[in-house]
Amino acid sequence: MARNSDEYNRLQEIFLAAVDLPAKEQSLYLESECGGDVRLRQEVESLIAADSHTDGFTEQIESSIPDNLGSDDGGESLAGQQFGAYRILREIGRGGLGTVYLAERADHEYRKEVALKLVRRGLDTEDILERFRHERQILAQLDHPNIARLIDGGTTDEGLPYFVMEYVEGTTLTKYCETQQLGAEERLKLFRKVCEAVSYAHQNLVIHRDLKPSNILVTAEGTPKLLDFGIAKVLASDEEAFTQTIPALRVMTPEYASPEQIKGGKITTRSDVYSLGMLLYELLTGRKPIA
Amino acid sequence: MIPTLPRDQATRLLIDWSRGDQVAAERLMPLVYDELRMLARGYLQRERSDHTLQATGLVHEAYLRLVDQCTTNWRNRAHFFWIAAQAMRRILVEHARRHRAGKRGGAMEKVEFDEALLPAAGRSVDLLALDDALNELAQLRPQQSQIVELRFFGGMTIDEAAEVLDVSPRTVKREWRMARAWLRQAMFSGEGDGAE
Repeated sequence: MARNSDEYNRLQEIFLAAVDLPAKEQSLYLESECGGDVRLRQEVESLIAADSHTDGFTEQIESSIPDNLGSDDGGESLAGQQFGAYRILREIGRGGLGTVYLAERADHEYRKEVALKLVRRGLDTEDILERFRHERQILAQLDHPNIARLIDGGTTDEGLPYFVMEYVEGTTLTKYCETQQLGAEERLKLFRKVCEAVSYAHQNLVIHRDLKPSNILVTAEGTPKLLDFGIAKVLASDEEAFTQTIPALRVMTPEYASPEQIKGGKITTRSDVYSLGMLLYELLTGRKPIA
Repeated sequence: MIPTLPRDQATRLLIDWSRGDQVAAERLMPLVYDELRMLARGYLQRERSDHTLQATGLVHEAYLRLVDQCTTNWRNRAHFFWIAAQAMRRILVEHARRHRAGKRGGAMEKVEFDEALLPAAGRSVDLLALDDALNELAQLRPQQSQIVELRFFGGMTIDEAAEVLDVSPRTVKREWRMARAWLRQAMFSGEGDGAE
């Protein structure tokens, strides 16, 4: 392989330009770039082979790292596709766990827009579905004006799990406070509603596990709505998350996570209370406690 | 007042470093290293359920323990994770080396350190081979070796790594793609050695 930086850089340049080309164009491109340099061409080709290798170690590493960019699943191209009774309209957001789309019921039985969260590759589908089936009843029963309802869920033809939730049009809590230039009293009023929703869920034995501003939207009417209730548990990476004893490190947001979540201790309702504390700090000071 | 607690020291050094003091970074390393080792050992004694125990989690905990978050900012945090990723690499590689030496002597390791600490799926990775390959990569393209360190040992996302290295996420993504193909090549193309 490359013996010095110059060779390496040249190799990289050709590799990156070629790797996503269709086979025919790729071979034409390599021919024009490498010319008679057989060794260079071989090296690029073996890199391309290594890139598409799927049972190796690097994509496994990647799948164990939550990524804000999501995978290269070409979000927009899903528009029009149908999952169960729902048809994708457009992408509305991306998070560490997957992509969220605006969707509507495809059977036109009644018009209803929903948010469909497609879990990204790399998480164990079987486990997730099993946990989802287990949790669905409980989550679907959460009926509170400040909690976005979980409506449905399933797997795509490719075996990726998805969740269908009430679609909430709004801005995140922190942004809302900022743009509306709310004073402390109004912020506290909103925060109180959030607390009531969390308290309601706790009474129904559901812990959120991933409370943070991006999971709390405020509608145009000024109603806060909590998203993704219980989803973190369903998506938790280990079997025991089932019994709520051991959390999964990757399904949380370190900035808002409680010490026990970071340490891998037992998650209880207090973990949510801790995250609420972090949120309150941010709402009142405009800064994150841990920045 | 002279800071004496590791926490005060680490926080101080981190801030000094972000102001351009390179010596501070070098002095911070052993603090982070010791803290991570201690945390790792504590975990291994307490529980054997290895899925709760990941390098990434330890790095986050070390951060919470060592850095006063009131006086530091996001940039300091990124710097800390950079150091921690390097320390984690060192810890895991040292352990793998000892483990290999132990095997040769017929002794049994009590705890599979690397098994418990690596991202679940990365456990089959030959750490010593990875370490060698990363050293080689550092000669050819230092930034790529850093990216692998940050992602693999520090558990950082593309965005976070971009923040640490002060480049765009897009750049990190491209560099990472090349790095992983090259590493796979370097580590697994055993039979092809003869040619070069």
